[in-house]
Amino acid sequence: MKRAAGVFFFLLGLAVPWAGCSQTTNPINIRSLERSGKAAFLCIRDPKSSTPGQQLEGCYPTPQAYASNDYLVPHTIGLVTQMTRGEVAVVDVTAGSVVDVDPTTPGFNFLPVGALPTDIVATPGSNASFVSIGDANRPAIFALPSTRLLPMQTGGRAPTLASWPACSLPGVPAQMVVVADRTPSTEPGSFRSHCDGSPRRPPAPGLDLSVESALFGTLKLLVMIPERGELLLLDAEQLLGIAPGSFEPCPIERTLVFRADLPPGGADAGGGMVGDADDAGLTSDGAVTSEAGPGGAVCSGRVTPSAPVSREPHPAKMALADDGRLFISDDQASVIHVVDTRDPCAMTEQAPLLPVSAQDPTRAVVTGAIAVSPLTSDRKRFVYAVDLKAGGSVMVFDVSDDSTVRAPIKRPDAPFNPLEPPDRLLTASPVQSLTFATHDVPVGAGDPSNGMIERGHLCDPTTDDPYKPPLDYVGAGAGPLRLRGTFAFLALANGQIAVVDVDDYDRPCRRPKISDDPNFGCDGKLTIPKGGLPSASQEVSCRAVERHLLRSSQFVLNGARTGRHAPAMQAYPLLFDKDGTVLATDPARTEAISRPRLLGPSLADIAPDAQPLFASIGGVDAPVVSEIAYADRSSLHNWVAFDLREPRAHGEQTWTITYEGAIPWFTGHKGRLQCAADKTAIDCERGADASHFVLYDSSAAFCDNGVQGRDIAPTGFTSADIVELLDDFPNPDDPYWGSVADVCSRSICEQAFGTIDAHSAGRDLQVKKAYEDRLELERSADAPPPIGCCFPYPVTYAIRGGKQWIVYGTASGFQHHVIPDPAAADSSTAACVISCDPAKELRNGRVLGRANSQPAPKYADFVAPGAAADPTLFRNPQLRFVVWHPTCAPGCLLRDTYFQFIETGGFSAIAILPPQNALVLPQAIGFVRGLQQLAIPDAASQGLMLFDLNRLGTIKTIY
Amino acid sequence: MRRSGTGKVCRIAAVASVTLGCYSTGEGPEPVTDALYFPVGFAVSPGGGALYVANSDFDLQYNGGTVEAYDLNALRQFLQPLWSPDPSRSAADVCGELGLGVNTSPILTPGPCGPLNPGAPPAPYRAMNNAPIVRASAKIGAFATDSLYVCHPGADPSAGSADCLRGEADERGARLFVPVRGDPSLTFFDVDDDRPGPNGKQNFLLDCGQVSNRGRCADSHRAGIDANDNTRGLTLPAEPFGIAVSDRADAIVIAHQIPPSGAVSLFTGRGDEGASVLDVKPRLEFVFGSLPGAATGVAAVPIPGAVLQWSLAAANYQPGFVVTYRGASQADVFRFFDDSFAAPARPFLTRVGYFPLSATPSGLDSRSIAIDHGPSTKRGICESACRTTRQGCVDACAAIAGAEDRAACEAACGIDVRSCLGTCTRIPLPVFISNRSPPSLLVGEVRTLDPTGSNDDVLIYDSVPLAQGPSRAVIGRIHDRRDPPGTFRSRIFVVCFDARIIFIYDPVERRIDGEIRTGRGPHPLVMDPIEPIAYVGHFTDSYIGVIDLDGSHGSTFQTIVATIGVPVPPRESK
Repeated sequence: MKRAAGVFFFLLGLAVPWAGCSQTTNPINIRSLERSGKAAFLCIRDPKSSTPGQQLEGCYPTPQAYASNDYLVPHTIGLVTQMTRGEVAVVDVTAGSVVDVDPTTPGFNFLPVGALPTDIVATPGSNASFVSIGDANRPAIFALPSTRLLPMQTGGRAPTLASWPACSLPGVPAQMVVVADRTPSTEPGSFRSHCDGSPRRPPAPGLDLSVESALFGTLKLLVMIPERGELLLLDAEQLLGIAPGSFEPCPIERTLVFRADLPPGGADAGGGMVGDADDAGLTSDGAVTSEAGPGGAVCSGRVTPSAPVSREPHPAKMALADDGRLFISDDQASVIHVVDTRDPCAMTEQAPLLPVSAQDPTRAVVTGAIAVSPLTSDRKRFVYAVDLKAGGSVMVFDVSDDSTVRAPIKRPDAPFNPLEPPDRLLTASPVQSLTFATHDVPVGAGDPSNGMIERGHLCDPTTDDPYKPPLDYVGAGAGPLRLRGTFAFLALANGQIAVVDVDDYDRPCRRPKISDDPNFGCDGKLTIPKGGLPSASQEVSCRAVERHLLRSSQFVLNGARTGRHAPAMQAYPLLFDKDGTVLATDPARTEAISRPRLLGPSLADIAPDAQPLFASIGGVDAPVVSEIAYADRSSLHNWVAFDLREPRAHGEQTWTITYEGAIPWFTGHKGRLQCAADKTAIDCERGADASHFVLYDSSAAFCDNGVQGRDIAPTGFTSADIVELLDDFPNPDDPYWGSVADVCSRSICEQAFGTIDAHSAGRDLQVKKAYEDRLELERSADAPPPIGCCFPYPVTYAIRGGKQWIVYGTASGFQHHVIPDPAAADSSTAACVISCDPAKELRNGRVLGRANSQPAPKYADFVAPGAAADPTLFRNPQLRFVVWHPTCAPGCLLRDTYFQFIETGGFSAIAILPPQNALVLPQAIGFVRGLQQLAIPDAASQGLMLFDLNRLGTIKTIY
Repeated sequence: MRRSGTGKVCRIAAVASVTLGCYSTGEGPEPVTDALYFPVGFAVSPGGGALYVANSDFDLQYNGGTVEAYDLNALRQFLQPLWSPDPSRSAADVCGELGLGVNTSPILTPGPCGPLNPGAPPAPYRAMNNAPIVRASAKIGAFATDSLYVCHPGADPSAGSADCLRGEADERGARLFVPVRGDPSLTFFDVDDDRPGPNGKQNFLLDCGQVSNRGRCADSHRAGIDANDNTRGLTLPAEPFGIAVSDRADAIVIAHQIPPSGAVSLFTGRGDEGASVLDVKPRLEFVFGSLPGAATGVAAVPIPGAVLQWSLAAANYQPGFVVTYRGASQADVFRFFDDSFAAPARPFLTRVGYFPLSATPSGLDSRSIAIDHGPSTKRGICESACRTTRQGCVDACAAIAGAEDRAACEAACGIDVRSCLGTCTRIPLPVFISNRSPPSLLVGEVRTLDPTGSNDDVLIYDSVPLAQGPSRAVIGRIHDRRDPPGTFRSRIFVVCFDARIIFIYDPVERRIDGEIRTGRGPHPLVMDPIEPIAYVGHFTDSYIGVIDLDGSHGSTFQTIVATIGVPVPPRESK
């Protein structure tokens, strides 16, 4: 026994040192792709054939992977440019692996092409691909015949640069598209081979595109050379026929030189927009208009000269429509070129689209990524183009046959959605690339007579439609994550993919069930049957799905199964004092009588069964109507009503309504107090020639951040904004005090202005007039010591609304419509004025208290600010409420008393994330027909990502 | 198995960071003053006469780092057969003629020839120039991080600024500033100003008081080390990294890489003795801490011409600086208040804006920021055009690529100069940020919202993928083969430390248009002010690579053509 134990311990002793060496090895994913750029896809039917390819529709997703040499099913092959190595990676999507084109050499080997590949395209029949090379000293095109891509085709011989047909270009190519020339030739049944009429020269086997040409037409390459402003036309088969290893100039059949000074043409040349009525008050000749603003104050419109005309085109990206029009963005000229390529040999530039900005018409808009949609179910076609310099936002152009407008489409609901420009689709991160895809999810059995399954079915809410939203919001049926129709997919710079509704077949069913009230964003034309619309989703707005807007990730409603996604109060608003102590407002308590109340309007003008939707509270249920009084100031709780017209205006945020609240933007700002007269600060307000101070802070942008002087305060706002000095006085040992001992001292200053912890009213200075860089202040109380003596250094300050409530949302911010006077020569120093822009009219962040003696307003009484507006009724795009002031002695309302509540629900857009939230840099996005998937090359780590439209998620990353 | 040099450097860095507080200037051997040793900062004199190299003594082999002044005219002349090659001659022949021999290790140290040893130049060099290559040097603390050459801006604000891009040489010379981590300080040198003009000279002055201090920079040239120098009792925080100077040279801002919440510090020169950091020993006046992350890059926002025309005080303008971070995905704008109305003035910085780096999935690890400015930028062209006739103005504006900016320029023509300059301010300034998470060059604009207001927005709208380890982003230039000799086109160079690649970004075509393969650990990079050449410092192996940037050289364009300094691997991997 002892011997056995000895052996055991001996062995244990041997093992101990090794135990420390044992490691858990984490598998490391080897990444063979490096800085992926662009991708093209082929459908390879038979690699051994001299025409191995077929149309992409001939490939399809397979339930399991097939080995890369198993061609029992056709394989989808992705060709991905490698920007650092100057190679093209071969990715077998069907096999789910990267192809090593030279198995005899260690590592993954790819197809060498020239340095800095910029683009790659494939022919529609997948028999050839073409790579554009961006090497500034050797710009070129390399042709990759599909007969020489795979090891089984080359016998494993490593390809070299000289393996490919290649030719040099006169400039660096940026992008290519393949077009077909379907012009009949003199030979019956065939198409013209070359623009000059010369006959086709049959190429060597394996380089023959005649199979494709017979189907699609003679295949041509359109190659864009931005630095020359040119579009070159090359014959695809002729490129394939170039002797490998040679590097002669490319045979260019036609050259189109872009123009940016085309005559406007059409009645809309000035940039007419949908909904031009919104531009009332603005002129196009540079004049400024004025009109009576709220309460009689003068408001002003922006100067709106036409956008400058550009002359030097610099094409950026191309998108080919299936009607033969080519749309080309331009990153230096403010046009989107339109080229008719139906006859590529006679391609002509047509009147361009005109990218302009409704927010700043003086800005010449330049564009980047671009895509054109297929025809929608209502025979519309749209171009999406990225506004490069406006956060990478997207402009939408209607390029349908019946469209005469060449400016971006402007949303008619702009005032109701202040978070986005009226003519832009704004995303969380700049759009890098975009594409369209049409996708359907047919349900039900096929037609018994012919087995056909209907596609493109429009959901009808008035009938019991088979495509209606599921009753439990979980099963199959219309919903946010089911894509039926045409959608735009935006690859964002942050790696996410956003989805835009273009033609959602289910849109008619995504709406309220019980009402067609315009207050829900509906038309008001539909007669609602008793019991409601049978196939409606019961969402709280008719605008849950809207063309050219981001798609919601949730049903916009509050429900047990859906969660809270319609605007709602998480809990009733509470009243707090400045220290954060809750103040009771229950009318049953006596102290409540001297406290303000925050109440929504009477909803008497809203249908009774719809009323709870406007004041949803807590949980997922409608409010307990008995606890909030829609028309009674004795309501048990504080509450607000929501504006449900535009769900996209709503987001989860905390609302704070503060009496004489500080405007948050100015927190931490420092300014300089300077005497308006030519006097020292100490003497400024003293003597017979007493003057006043001006607060200078040229980094504050007082107008742009909503400061109102007395001159523009609307009627009823008896007091202008207040500047409160926040700083402590100089340190007691500061030598400064010795120099002003005859005027002031620190203790005297503390007596006059309070300490830093306990301010006195002396620190308040009213704003007489506000300018962009400074505030002209009212003369302070004529009490010693002078402000200039106590605050000699630049001061930290707060700006507060005087005797009014300041409304602030953590997501919406402090909304206002104050701007620097557009008529001023220098906007840096311009006076603050009220904007006349109707798109801004709902941007409100101030409200006066309403006296208890006044009547309770109805929902419809909350009109937009203007001469007729009541400043005691608060309305912005999200909320409508009144702050009822108590009947109490003056001064009973204390500064920084505030109501606060959390708004839950609201709009959240679909954001498809990269796998494992990897950091990715998407370089392009494309829809792979056949696979019905989105393909995104990633330059950072993921190589090639594939997204499934059925699951709206990543299904495969190959690197 | 051979370990990677990068790994060694990381380990050395870890050791160094731990031992940082223990650094003493009195221990170890004296640093070599005619060789490179972990170079981190390059600067050239604007006339192209001197190349200043800050060596960091990163592995603490010596008792401090050094700053050296190289005779750049002589180097340029000697190496001309390499950066301007005769295509009819073989590189091996040229290397032989120069006495450099053929490069036997082209993978580790790219280039056709062996190294040019500054301490023992070959006979052909001595035959050409008998003076030493390193013409002056001084010892500094260990772990220098950068270097900045600053000129006197001149009395006429429109004639030149601290960036030395315009104006004539100043008789008072110029200054070289080097942030040093080992003894946290801003060490500065009085140097020659070799810009054109009657006062231009290049005698390789490199004065930090070292002559009377055993070759080491004296306290008189090390700012931020004495709390009694300022009214706030401040000393320079640890980990100084990036450095920038205001246009008028009245403020220097240093970014501090203190984890987790960095700091920026402010040096000024205002006072009774003068108005700029070149007139007096700069004073550390203010430290702004509790930032969202360790601060790394800093760049000065150029002052709009309209403000300079008016005068800063009258325009109520506060110079701005943009700061980037390692641990925060944002760029912050700080403004400098000289506090001149107060008595005593106590200058300070305020943070007036922060701008998310939304054009990237993370953006958490920014390293360097560069704002393109100067007379050849669009705004620079516009501002110059304002001072000509109306037609001259329109003609000048035609040189601006881009409809928006050219239109803004043309709109400025024919009105009074101040209004014209105000209109030019509408033209944004391109800004570039190197970022490591993921490796990318962030491209955007600094927009000045009001012509004379201190209101700048930093908007990033594009991210260009790079290889691993971007560090420096440098605004430089190349000669395009299609252009006449002597003309240049602007490019952005981004040095990728780990990947050993310098990417060249064309801001007009908005694409990478070149890649330069380097040796190990490329970091500092500077453009030659005269020829289409650049100098890249190899931190890991301690040498300079000379890069040919002339597109007419088919075989050597965008490659390293010469090596200055004998490559020395880090000690641990010897």
